[in-house]
Amino acid sequence: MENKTENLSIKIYGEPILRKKASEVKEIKEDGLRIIETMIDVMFANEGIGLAAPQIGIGKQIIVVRNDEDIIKLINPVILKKEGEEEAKEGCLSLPDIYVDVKRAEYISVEGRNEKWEPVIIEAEGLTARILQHEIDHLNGVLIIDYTSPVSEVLVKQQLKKLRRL
Amino acid sequence: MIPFPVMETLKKISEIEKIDLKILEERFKKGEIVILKNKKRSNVIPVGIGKGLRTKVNANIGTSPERNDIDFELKKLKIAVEAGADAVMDLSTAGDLDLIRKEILKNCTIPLGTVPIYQAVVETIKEKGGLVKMGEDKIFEVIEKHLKDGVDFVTVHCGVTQKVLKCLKEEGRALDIVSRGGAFHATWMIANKKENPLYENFDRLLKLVKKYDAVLSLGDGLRPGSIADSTDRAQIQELLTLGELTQRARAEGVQVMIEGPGHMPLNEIEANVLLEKKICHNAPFYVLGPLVTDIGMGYDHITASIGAAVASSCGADFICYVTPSEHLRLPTLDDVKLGVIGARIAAHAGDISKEVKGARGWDNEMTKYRKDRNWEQQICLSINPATARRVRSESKPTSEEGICTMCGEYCAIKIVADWFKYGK
Repeated sequence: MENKTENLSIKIYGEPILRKKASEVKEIKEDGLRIIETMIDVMFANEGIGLAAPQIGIGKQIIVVRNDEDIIKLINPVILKKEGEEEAKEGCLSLPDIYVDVKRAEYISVEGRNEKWEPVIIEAEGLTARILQHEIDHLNGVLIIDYTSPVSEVLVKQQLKKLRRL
Repeated sequence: MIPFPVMETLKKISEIEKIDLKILEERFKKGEIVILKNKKRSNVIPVGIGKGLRTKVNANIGTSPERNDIDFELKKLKIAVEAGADAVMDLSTAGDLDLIRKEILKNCTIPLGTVPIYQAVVETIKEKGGLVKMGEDKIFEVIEKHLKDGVDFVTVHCGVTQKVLKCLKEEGRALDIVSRGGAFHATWMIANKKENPLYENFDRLLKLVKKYDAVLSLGDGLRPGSIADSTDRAQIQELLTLGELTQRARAEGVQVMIEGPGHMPLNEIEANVLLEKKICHNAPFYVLGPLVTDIGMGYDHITASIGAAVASSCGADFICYVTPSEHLRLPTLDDVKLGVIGARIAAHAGDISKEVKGARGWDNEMTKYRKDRNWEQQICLSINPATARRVRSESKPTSEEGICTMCGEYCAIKIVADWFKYGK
């Protein structure tokens, strides 16, 4: 049980893995499926609506995204198309208590593979599109604080300092 | 990713108030709308206050050294909620203050506000013998305790500064200070020859409030307590300070509303609402009444409702009730009910006037059933159906159901109904 809790822990800002580019997944086997299951558990346990593998310390291109009752599981995702623009506040499990305005595309289509290793194309809009973009950012080492405006940057910086000390 | 928690709350409020989410979000960001909900509270339905939203009503409850009974206060809470209050404030000054607050929070499904300086002073007097001996940290400690417990908004009298007291002293007043919080602060500041600690350490206060997503209710320690004193230099000087503090709070992402008068002639209310909106950059305005005359003892829920209707129609956003017992005693259960209903009628009258979405629709519905002489539906739609039902049942018409004992068979609506129906 103790071990499990440890595995479930979320990497907080300051951990180098959050800034690294995740590597492409070559095939999905049992351990890959286990990673996906763990990610879903962690996401639900922390009331998240999306999670990327680097956030639990695994540098692989895997994301999970809540879509109403459904969960999108996506491996090696690549954004094919973006349309429209919308700004909204986002939070991130790796940046506790920080919320920043992020401009994202309103509609996107993403290509990748599902947990059965089948090629899939997902079209999404609104919140789902936003979560997908947020999680795909993680796979490229990008965090929401990279989108802060100069004005709020000062405030965010103070909070980040605190996080680093944790 | 995790969703922005406020977004979820805004969505809920946009559904309740039938206001466009984008408009709501924009006004919230600007600080024209505040949301009463402490991050720590799970048993509360969030309440939005401000531009374009229904005018809300607050009921004050709480013990006093003369009447100290926690069960009685919990009954008042129940009655206030049943009568339709949107928020309550626990103003207790006697008994186990921590216990009372916790019990009220546990039993309260609407947002709760407090005035932490009361507890800070009550405890200081108990411990040290006099309020002037209060350490500056004490007030901050009490504020944090309240916020930690889940209090959704705190009244803080940051605007009672040395400058304001100088205005008060120099211009003079018929009735100097009538706010308890204002009087506590003034006494401490005068005796210690120091600036108001909440003003001087405002940043410290902001940090506390922000941590809990609570709302700062900037109190009006110099609110006029006589119509002779309204809109004087002390009152306006305090308002100017609150305007400055509003900007500072917003820069730190802290929600603010502004408390207002007090006793004030009817013809000054519009100007006072305008001044608050201009000076405090459209921060929601939370008024106590205003009471439009000083002689209404025993009926001050009416005095206050007259003022509140005008204030609400001019743009006040949140009305604190006044009960028939104002100036006379701690309110009874009946007083609480009358206070809430009076304030709700005033708030609604204002909402019709300032065209709040859905306000007029309620009246239109009522008119429809009134024309049909359908008393059951009229009663259901009335401000307090239980009262309306009781009143009608106490004087039932003898013959027809479609009339009441006011006019009987000479009912005007009934007489002309047929002609309007078939006369064309």
